[in-house]
Amino acid sequence: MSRAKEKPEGAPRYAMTIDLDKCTGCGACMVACAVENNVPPAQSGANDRNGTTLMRVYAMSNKQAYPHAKQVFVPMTCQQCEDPPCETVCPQNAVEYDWTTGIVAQIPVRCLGCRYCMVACPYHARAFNWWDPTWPEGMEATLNPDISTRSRGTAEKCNFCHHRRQLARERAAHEDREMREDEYQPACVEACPVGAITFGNLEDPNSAVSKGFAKPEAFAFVEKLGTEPKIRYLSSQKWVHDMARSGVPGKEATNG
Amino acid sequence: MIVTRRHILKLLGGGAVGTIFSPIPWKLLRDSSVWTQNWSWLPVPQRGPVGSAYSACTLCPSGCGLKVRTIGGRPVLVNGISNTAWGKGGLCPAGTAIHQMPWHPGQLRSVKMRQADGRFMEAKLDVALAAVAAAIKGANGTVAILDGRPGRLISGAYREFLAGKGMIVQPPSVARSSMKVLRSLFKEDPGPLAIDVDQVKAVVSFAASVLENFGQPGLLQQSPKKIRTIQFEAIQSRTALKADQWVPIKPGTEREIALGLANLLLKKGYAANWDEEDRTALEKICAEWTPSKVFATSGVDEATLTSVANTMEIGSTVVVAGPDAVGGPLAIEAEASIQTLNLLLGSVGQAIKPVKIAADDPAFAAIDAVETKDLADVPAKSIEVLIIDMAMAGYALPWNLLADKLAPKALVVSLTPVLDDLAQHSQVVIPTALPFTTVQDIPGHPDFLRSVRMAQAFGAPADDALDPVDFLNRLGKILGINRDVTAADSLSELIEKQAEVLVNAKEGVVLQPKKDPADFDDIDEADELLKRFKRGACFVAAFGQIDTALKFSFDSLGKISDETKKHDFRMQLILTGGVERASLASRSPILSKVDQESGLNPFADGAHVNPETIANLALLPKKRWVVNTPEGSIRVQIRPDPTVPPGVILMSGAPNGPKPWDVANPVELASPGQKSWRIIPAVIKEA
Amino acid sequence: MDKTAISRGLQRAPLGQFLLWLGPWIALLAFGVYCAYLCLRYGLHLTNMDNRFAFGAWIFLDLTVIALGAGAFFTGFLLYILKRKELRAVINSAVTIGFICYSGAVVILMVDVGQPLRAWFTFWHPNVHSMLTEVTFCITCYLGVLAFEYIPILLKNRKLRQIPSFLVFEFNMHKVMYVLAGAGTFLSFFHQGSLGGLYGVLNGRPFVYRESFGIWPTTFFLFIVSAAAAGPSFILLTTWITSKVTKKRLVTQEVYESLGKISGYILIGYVLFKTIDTLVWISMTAPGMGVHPDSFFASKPGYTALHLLEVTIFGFLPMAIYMTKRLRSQIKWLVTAAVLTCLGIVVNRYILTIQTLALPTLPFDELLSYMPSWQETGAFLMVIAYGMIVYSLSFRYANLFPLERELQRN
Repeated sequence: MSRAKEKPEGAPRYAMTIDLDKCTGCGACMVACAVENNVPPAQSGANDRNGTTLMRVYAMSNKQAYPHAKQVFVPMTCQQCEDPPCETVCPQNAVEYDWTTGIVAQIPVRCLGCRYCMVACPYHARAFNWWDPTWPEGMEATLNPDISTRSRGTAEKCNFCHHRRQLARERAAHEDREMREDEYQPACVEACPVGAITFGNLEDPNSAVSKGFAKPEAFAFVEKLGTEPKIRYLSSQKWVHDMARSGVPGKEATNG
Repeated sequence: MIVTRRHILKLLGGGAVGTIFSPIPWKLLRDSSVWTQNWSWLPVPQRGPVGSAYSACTLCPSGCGLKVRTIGGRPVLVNGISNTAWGKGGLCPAGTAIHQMPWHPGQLRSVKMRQADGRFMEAKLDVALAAVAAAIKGANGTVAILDGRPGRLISGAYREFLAGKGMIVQPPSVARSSMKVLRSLFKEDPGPLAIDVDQVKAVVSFAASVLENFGQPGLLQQSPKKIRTIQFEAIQSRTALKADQWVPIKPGTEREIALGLANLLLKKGYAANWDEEDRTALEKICAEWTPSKVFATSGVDEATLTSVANTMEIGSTVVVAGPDAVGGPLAIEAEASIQTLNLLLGSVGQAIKPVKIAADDPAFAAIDAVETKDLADVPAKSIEVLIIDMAMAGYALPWNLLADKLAPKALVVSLTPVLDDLAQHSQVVIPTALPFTTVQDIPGHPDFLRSVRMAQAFGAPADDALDPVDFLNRLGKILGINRDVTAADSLSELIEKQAEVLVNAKEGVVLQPKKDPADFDDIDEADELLKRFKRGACFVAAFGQIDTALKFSFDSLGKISDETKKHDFRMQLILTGGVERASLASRSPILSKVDQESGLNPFADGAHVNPETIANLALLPKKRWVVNTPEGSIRVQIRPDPTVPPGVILMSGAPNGPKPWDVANPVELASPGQKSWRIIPAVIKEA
Repeated sequence: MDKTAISRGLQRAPLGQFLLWLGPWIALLAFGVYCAYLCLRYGLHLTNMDNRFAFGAWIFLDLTVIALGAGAFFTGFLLYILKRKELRAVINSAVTIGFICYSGAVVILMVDVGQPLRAWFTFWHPNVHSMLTEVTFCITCYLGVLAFEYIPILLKNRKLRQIPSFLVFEFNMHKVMYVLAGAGTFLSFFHQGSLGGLYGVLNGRPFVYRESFGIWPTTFFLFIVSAAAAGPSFILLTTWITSKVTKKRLVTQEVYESLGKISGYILIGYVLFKTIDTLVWISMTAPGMGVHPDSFFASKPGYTALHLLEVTIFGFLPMAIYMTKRLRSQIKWLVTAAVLTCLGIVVNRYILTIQTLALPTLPFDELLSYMPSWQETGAFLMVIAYGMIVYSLSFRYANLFPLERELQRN
């Protein structure tokens, strides 16, 4: 189900391209995301399965041996699907596709913490706050006032740093003009040291993102699920494209 | 009307139903959703006026520039500064969280001195200084300062302090940097050399982390023109993954490959305009390294070697090696052989140039007045007093390499903000300020540019944190040592002095964020330069001309310096991980996102060994094994990993577990007898 | 000592002995409450659930007990709507068990969700597209229905019925029992189905996604049928266990056989439906989502065996036993078949809740494992203990088995 038909006139649809040829797997995007969104450092006992990582970089290998082994690093975040599986399943309507931006919004104050949305999401984009957030003493001074801290018991996910869009639009409004597209960039896009992440408006055919989507080396993960994600990955390596089609490692994807 | 129970029930029932249709549930919904989100124990971000400031990162030698978003003067976000010559605005993960450092939970809050029973106790600064002064006064052996990051103003102060009576010890990763070794190949010292990245079209790298995550991330990737990279490396590091070509090599064969390439380049006439003597000397050394011999030694086949040689263009190709943040430098003869290629490529004078240092720059004071040595070349057991300043080094240094040089009752003093692994072995630990709490001068990476930035303070240092200049002043007062060029009450004063010198020298350019570069016609006063520094400016020294004769000495290419004793350690332990593994103590706890909450540290879970190797050694799957080296052992779990070269044990060179100052550190397996710990001879045995 | 509270003509153990029986269950209840308290006070990180295993042991066990507690609605339906009079012998027990199962499940859910104080938001912001909304509404309403059905059973206690208003209330309840039974059936039909629908609609998980009839995936219907099959079997099992523990005859053989036969007939439908559904999934649904079903467990081939077992040993076998008259006349075969049927429910719910989340959905995922922590286990044991206590008290003081008095006399 594509929502393009129902969106208001002139409204943007934000999307991302991530270049896997460039990504070095450094994790600067992960750190920048945590800093921007007031995500606390790992608690004792936290690991890669219960940590809050709204942006997370995975390593994907071609499963071959030395010296033919190859690897790419895949920054994975909420894919902002056009047909989000998490939206239909939330019992409290706490997840909503925002027609004015294309971002899948989460209402944290309404979230019950049932975690059904996390079961529904195939991209592991969602994290649950298993702990109350705590920072080392005094480090709360570095918290970003544009985002609240979340108590335990709610689910959360990337929302393309939507608060930055609010701020950019307010600033523009103060100056009596429209917000320019480049004034709104999520933290991860800014932080990537090699410029692997591009962000922009899919409704603008001249944006870098629109051009990226059209490239032959662009692909989405597990496209056959029909969620219509708005993140495209770029890779010049064929094995990466082949692997990305199937959700299960080790077996060639069927053509259905 | 008599009110009966029925009436009351009707009232209650009707009231209940009616409430559902009133606004009360909505209000309750709104209120309860807010207070279930705002329990009293949850931190509330403080508001305040939004501002921005500039600073520089102090966590590693790259010294990337930072733009800091502040709320009420408190730092909440940092970004890199682009469009400066120093990097393209990329920040590594550690730098991205540097603004949280002032609240690092490991911050040392008092001076510590080790008691007779071996435990650290809190001590008064005066007592500690008296002990250090007494040790210096009564020293029969060497008094040394281990400076992890020369080129800072404090480095000049250290030299003035020790002038004539002590030694500056350089960690091997500093002493054997690519440009230092290149410089040593000249018969006449051309002065400090640096790579001009704008002139580079191709990079041939021997295991250098040029495309890596840390230390100037994105420097090559964000370059306006495409820079081709060829990586010779035994393991498939991230640079090898991203390079245009990865050439797998047998571990430890960099020298042979370099000489093989040199052989081919000589045959192509690349040394045609050299002195006959030099060319003949080099030809003699390279003659035996024919492509087939190179193949037999290193596994690099003839076709690959030839094709790489053919892509190496005069003037625009640069060859780099240099120290690994965890594995340290290559042996001198390997590095020298590699740098010889730069001489053949004529890079010196084109893509590699000398930098002009201002004559009175306090950072370079007393260079000739103090003996400076590579730690590896210091005689064993000769140091009686050692002051360690490795807090901003960004390189790992195995303690036992240091320990080997210490006299039996040596006093070791560490100047550091957190109790890192070298401080753990010291007798006296004096806290210095954490990053972002004090003003500091930040020189850039010496291999690329001579530059100066200023790091600002966004909060106060711990009460007991000592300014290093103050440390030298107090010590000097007790010992009667006065400094001249670097006389000052604090580092800030020295920075002002340096600004004065730079403005008077009128050499170089001042790069500014979002503005055109300024030169010293615009900036004619020290105060103006300081003002620009505070607004994110970066002073960049001018490149000079190569005016020494292009005459070389190839003695250091000679035979292997490390003695290869016969031993049973037939496998090769390689420690990996980059800067992020070398300086765990100096990173914000938020880095646990990468370290603990993702799988991006794949080699921290044990010793990765190719299943072929395991089969060869007839190892059965068992829970615990021991990696034995000539220096010691470490217990590990074996992880069969077919991506690791056969015969190699690949481990993360970092302390295990989330605490950065855990003692079980594989880097400590480096043997003091070896000048290079890139490859540690090892073998795997049952626990 | 409490003889006056025990129904006339029924024999019960001395009070001391009864308290000795209750003792360990009360201790277990206390421990379980403590575990639940820990989770509420300190946070759900005390469980071994995580972002990949967002649903864990609690949801698995919840789904299982709700399916087993389906005996309440189904027996009611059979008795009051289809007029199967012999089931009057077990209807009280069935309702009690149903009440225990549902109230226990709701208590665990309140611990399982991160923000239990917001649980009622679903009623104010219902998402009509979500199966979980449907589950919430129906289970809440059905718990109410069960309460209304259970209270009269308690009120019929010898002491309590001496209070006139209770007697009047109970009598009035009895008049609307058919309405309650109908409402219960309707609600149960939907929530049993929606619990299955929870998984069948997940278009991000090829392992559980199924084709739909209208808006309802096949798992919706499969869950209803399996619950209907398990309900009578569980009643059979619990009745038999109770009679063994109390050493009394509680129902006639005819009742057992009737329960068995009903379960058997439904199992025929279930096995057939499930087989067809699985074949369609293997050949059409999963490949259409880009996954070959045989690759799900390529790294752990033993796991597919569980799917086969569910339909054969835990589906076809008990069905065969139930439908064979000769075997049906022997209580030991009936109980065996009942145990197998109930285990089939457990296996089915396990596959859907635990295995689904263990499986990769992205090419760089691994097959994960999960084991509940002691706090999770303890909290669930709280429900078991609660159930034993409530049932024991109900058996002692209320008349759960109307035939007991008659059978005792003979």
